[in-house]
Amino acid sequence: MTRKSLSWLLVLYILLCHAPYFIPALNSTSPHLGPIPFTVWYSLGAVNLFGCGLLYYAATRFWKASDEEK
Amino acid sequence: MDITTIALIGIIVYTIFCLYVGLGVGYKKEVVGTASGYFLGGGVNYVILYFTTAATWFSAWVFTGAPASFYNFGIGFSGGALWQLLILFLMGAFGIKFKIMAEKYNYITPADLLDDYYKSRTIRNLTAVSQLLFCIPYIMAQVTGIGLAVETITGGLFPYWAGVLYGAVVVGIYVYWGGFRSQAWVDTAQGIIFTIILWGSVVIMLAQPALGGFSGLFAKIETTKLVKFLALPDYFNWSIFMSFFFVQGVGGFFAPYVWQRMYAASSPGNVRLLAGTLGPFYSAVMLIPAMLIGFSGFILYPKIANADTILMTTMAQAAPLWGVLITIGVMAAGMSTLSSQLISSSSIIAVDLIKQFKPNMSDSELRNMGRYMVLVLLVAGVVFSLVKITSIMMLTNMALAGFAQLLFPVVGALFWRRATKEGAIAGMVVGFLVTIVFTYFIPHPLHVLGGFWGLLANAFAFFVVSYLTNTIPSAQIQEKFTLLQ
Repeated sequence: MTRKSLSWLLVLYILLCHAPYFIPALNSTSPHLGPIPFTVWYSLGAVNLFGCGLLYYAATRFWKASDEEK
Repeated sequence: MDITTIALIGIIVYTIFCLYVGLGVGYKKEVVGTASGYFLGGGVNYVILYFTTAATWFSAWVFTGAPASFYNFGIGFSGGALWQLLILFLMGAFGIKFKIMAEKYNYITPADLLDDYYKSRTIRNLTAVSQLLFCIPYIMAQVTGIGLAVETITGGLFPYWAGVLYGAVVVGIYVYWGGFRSQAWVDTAQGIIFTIILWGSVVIMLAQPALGGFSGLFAKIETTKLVKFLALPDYFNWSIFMSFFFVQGVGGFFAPYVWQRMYAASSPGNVRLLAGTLGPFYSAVMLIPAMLIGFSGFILYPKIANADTILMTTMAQAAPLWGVLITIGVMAAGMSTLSSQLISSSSIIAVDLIKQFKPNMSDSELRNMGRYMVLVLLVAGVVFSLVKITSIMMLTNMALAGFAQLLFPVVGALFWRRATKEGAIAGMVVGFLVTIVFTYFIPHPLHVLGGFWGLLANAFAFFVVSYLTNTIPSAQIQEKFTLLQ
């Protein structure tokens, strides 16, 4: 992973967080994940998971390499 | 045995446990013998760093304010979980560098790093004073919260003032003697305690007959405003969401008690690991329960006067014994945040402010000054809490916005050689002023938080003034800070 790609993925994360305000399809209760409405599992589930995964990947691949160079 | 007696036994057991962890397990005489060891713990391992960072960040708010926010604003407050991850991205981008520099140049406070780059006493003082300005009200808020919790849990047997004194004395004991290391170990214990209690509370809430369990809850809120992101002119529309996201995310990392945890880590590798693994705790473990409690409260008490009391209102009827535990959880969350702010604030006063007038202070004198400042801050917190100076509490509303104003000076120090001390000073001053004006006098223009306007103004002033003034010439500074390139 390069610094540039990490930066773009962070931008993507930020856009995904804000997207339901601009994309009506994302501000909907359907489709459900079991009983959970879409807006809930999208934001606190999917986007959250993406953000946590990106952090973990950055810490183990990108920031690790940067540390070792020092 | 009645509830009050059980509560008193619970408080006694909890207190003994905290003091045992703080003064027994967490105390190391050789660590507290130096100023750096007292203020930063002498190198904290990953597990303790993880929990002390989490417990410091999450206060009694997770039991009260967070559920209330979901009650009032619905899924729009999911940003409260999502912006936590922005804090951790900044931890990866800046925190590792903070640790590298702190290890090499013995930094104790945030201002140490900024002063070392900009060579400016003004920047040191601005940084220190602004951080204290926002930390001290938080100290008062935590002491107040503990006082209310003790009064509640004992059914008024111990009045508010006794609870305030109790919190101050117990926290004061292990922070005064053991410094950062002791409070980090107690934080770890408290963090585990309040996490378990929070999730247990969710189970009890969802078991309320009127909800119908997890599925029933979501079936009932399906048609309410809680599951929709709101449009203008509702309060938590996209512009408020966006500005909260950046102000809270940036401010949450540049808060001194978070920044100094980067210094306190045993290695840069531990900071990196922390940034990579704290996400699930920050965003899910703490905020998903808050959402479930808030949503449950909306169904159970659609017209509640104060949404902060959802949990206690439910437990008073459904599970009084668990209500005792929740109050202990509130105390644990409040005390963990209080202890961190005490040690951080005392280091800022001793290292950044007092040492300017006493530059020949020995290391042990500096450590002792830190200890005295812990007592001074506690007394101030107790007095303000007892006198109930509510105007001070207003500062807590813009605390994170205030901390966030350090972003651009730090960017300059670590990444942008064109940054000048005049630019940093201009950015900070303009940022603070704009934040104050657009938070209190012309609140949130265009539905954007005052702190975000402050950040924009800060950026503008920082970059423009830096371009108009002379770059920092010292070769020594360049060599020091190119360590990070």
